[in-house]
Amino acid sequence: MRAKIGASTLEFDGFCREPRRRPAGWTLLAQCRRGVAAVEFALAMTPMLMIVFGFIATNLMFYTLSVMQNSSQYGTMMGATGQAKSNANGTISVANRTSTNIACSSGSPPVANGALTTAMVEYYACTGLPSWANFSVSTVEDCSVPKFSVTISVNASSAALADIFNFFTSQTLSASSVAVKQGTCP
Amino acid sequence: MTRLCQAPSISEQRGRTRRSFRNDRRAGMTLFIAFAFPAMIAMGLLAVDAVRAYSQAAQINFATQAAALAAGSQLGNYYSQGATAGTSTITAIASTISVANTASLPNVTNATTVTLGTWDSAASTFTGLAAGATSPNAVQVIGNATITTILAGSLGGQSTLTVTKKAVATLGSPKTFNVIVLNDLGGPNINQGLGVPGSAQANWWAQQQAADAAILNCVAASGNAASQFGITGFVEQPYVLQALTAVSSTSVKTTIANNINNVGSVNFQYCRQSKSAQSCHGSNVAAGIYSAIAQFSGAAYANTSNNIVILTNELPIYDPTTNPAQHIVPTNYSLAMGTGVTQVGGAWTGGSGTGICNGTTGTTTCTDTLLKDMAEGQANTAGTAVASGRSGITISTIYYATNNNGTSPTAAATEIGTWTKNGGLTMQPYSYTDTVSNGVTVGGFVTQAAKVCQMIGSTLRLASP
Repeated sequence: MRAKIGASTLEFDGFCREPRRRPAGWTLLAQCRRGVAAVEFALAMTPMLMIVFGFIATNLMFYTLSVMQNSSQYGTMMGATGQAKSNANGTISVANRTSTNIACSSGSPPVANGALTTAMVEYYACTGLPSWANFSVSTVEDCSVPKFSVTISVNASSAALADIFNFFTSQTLSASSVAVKQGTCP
Repeated sequence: MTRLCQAPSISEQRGRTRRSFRNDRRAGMTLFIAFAFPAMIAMGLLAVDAVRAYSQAAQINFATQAAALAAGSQLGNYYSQGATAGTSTITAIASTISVANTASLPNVTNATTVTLGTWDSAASTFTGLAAGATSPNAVQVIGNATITTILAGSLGGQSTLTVTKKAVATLGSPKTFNVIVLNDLGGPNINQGLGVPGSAQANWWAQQQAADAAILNCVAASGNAASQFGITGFVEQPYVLQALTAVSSTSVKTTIANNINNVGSVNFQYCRQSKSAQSCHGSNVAAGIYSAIAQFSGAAYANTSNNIVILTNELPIYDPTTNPAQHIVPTNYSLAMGTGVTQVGGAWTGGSGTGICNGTTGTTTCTDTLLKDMAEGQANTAGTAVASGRSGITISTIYYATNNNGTSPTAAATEIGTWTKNGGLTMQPYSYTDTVSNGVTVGGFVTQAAKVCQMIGSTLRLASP
């Protein structure tokens, strides 16, 4: 292989080994064209992978949010219609209107942690949530309206699952639903 | 052909440039990236925007449905507060629930349009309330939300998306429910208190008889054979006129209706002097509610819809002419009642225990204020869930302003309104002049009682417009 650089003509043996007339060390690397596509590909893949995984993470986050919305709506309707008369702290009453950050269990799916029963609103709010993140549920009964609300929260980064570049670190994803309390509102 | 010692022509230079560019394999990936990346990023961002918009649209849909159910649950206010005020109340709660469900959505503006009307289940159509129409049975909520896109707008696409969701909540099939009607048998004045049903002095009780019959018809019309109906009167004490009975057939309904009209085997006669020691004046609402709670305390009434409808013309009144021992008190009902709550028809035996007022045994006097406090306490007790798996009792009130012992009808209406519990209706006030000739028409009373029964006896469901 013959290459002309400046006024000099160098002879390459095709394997990027030292030419007959030795140039400086980095000059040699700069002059070498072997593997240049791989190098360019590697350079290009870094931002491309960031973008691709960013899209995957973002869409997983929205998917998780959508499921959280469905679950919070389910829990809300169970509480608002009185089909579930308790929260994780016990029977909903004047002295027990709220429950805060009750953890759903991990698992597939994380229906409920062992302490939750079918009488509790949190049990239904935890139903159907993705298994790759740890969710927590808060419930509030407000008899002044009257209304019943359920909020499900999760760390956004764990909800995104593929957040390998930590785009959503320290962010919290939450879904909230509210419905009018039917019947008894203690 | 190469021409030596001669500068290449311009066309030759261009041709060489094109060829060298085509043949140049350097930085091929860079070119690919330069052209492909913007397109990839744009498509990816649009996908993210679409997913986000879809997610928000789903939440807006729920917000609209929840708003419709909220509005439907308050439909009774149309009848209790009147068309204008009732519609405002219904619209307000629909808006409250809709906003609460979309408040956490960023870049979303939400507006709801609430329309009262009727739902035709056969044709699956909603019709707004026509001029002059007075009986809405459904509420339509239209949610109009504007979602601001984050990326699509900046890429030359739509910067906002308009999402319109529609939901109709309608009174559905009658449910299985139990009703005890509490008739205030204390007369508007002493003369009426001594009235015999059918006489000119018994106007107040005649209206209550008609209201009882209307609610009985409503329960029977529900078509649920398990639904039970009962009547309890109260003066200073409660008096069970009709024990809770499943209106399971036409014959049962006819029997009860005949008793109400005093032509049956059991002559209720409501309040008349021939009932021996039973006074026909005084108004101890607390005693009536207490009796109803006791009647609903059986295991058969767990996990069912239990309702009290209070018909009264006044705030609780203590009548000093009555034997103090007859004052029935919530905290010791059986002691004072003697024969219990099962007495139907026949002579009133009077209280056999010691007079008790607001929990104090042995008292010989009581006061209007204490009776009012007792009524509030018993209403709260009834409204609260009394045992695991049992919902609180729904209380509706129908108040006709007459004699309030110096209290204005407005103040009395406010007080009586606090007895309403768990979504029951508050029908008040309805002007009633304390004379027989100017008394309210039976039709008005019947209409209100029937409407209360329809509301508490119907399920609420989402229709599919």
